Amino acid sequence: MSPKYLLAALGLSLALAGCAQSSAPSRSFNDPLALRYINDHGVLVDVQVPAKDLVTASMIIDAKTALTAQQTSQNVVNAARGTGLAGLLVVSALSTQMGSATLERNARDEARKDAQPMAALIGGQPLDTRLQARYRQASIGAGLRPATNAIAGRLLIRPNIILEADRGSFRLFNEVELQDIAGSALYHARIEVISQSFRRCGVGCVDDGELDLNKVMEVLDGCIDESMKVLAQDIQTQGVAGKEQTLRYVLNGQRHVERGQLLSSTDGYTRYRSLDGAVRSAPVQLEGTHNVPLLQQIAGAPAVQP
Amino acid sequence: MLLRTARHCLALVLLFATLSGCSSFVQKPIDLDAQFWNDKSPVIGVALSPLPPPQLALIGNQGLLELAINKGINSKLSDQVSAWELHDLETLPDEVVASLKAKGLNAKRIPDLIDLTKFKETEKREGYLARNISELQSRYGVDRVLLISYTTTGAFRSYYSVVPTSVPTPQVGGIGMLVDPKDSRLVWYKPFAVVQPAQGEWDQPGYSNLSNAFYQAVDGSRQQVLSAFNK
Repeated sequence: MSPKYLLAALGLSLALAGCAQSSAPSRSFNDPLALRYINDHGVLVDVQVPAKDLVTASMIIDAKTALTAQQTSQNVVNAARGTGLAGLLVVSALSTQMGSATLERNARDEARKDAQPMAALIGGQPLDTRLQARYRQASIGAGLRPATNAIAGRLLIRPNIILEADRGSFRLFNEVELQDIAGSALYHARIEVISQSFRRCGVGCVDDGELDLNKVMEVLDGCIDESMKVLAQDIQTQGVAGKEQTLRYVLNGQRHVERGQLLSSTDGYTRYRSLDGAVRSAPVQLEGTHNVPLLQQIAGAPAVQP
Repeated sequence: MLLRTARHCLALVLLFATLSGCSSFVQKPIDLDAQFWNDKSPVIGVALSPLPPPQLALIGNQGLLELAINKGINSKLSDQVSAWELHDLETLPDEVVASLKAKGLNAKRIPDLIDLTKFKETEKREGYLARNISELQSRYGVDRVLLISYTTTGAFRSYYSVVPTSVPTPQVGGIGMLVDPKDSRLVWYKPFAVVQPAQGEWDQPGYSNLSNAFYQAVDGSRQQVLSAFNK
């Protein structure tokens, strides 16, 4: 390979790596003064419902299809080898992510379609006032002192509803920030609560695919209550969490495996801090967290340290 | 003349050695048969072999200089991959023992890691482990050895020269085998491999999606091993 091509390839490679860098997710932080500020001054809950796309759906890409797409990209690159390095560079730039990109585009279109029924259902409600009232009520229920006058903290909440892969439950995604009276942030976190199933029991208790507004709002209210409990816990405990571990659970027939730090959990919810800093809460029991000693007793020997 | 003949002989020997190397067989998977489940008397010792540390494999068509460049570009990712943990696999033999006991079989955990490379190599034969592990029978008081051997952990990324042709993808692979230590006969042989692409962007700060995908791959491999005994 001539140095000219090598340099060009290196430049493109670096450029590609640069292009692939995603924007940094918002960092969680928890000022020790946050709790004192709430206790001293109280908080005014301010819910900012997004003007569009309040309801979206998660993209579903299964591992097997993703791998096939990746192989397709690889095949395109292999086929382009005859065109020389310059040709390969162009094709590679287009196709390194091409298989995955096509897959993602299709999955995004599908997700948009899947989110429409629920978006239409709750879009017909006076959502701003309803959510404002519910979050305010939930924050008081979680033990966060409400504001009594204008000198108070501002609890800014930006909610989003994201349908889960099973399309029968959703994730209430809250971007939460506590600001002091001067507007300086004392606490910032992403709190995600996975809902119970919102599917209604149709005739003969068979899911007929239709959505029931009352059922959906009831499930949403449950998520809001849990979100505020998680927030109160996170502020009170200063974000102290357990050791990082693999968390496994089955929710609505879907197996979830995620790495995170367990937080103390109550009310049938399991709470944990994920690797990206978000605090998640799911209405599940974890698999295999309490039975390791029992397992080793059954097996007849303690596990070794590899 | 003599020198030329000798040179031709040497070439033939080399060619033969190469060809015989190429023709070495690949052991096919062997399923557990009904006899295994019906015969409750043999003591089955379940063990794990030493786990290979997770590493980033840069695969594809690269020269030495290009490989060095690619390693440099991926050094941060490489460090992250090396930091991934394999503790989840430590309890896998215990879970296999529990599954076997639930089926009424006589199983126990072998407390040590079994490194097959430490055992004497024997002739390669279809249906037999090419190592003499007979000493395990008396050492642990077992009639069968069920060994879970991980051969690959980490992630791979393919390159053509210095051009990446794939995103980094976590992978975990290995072999599960049940061996009769008396004669090294394979009663069960199951290679497993899980390739788990990251869901979403792979290059987030801290590589959270990629790390999650790795732990999902580890979990997937556990499920593959356990599925053989949970039928």
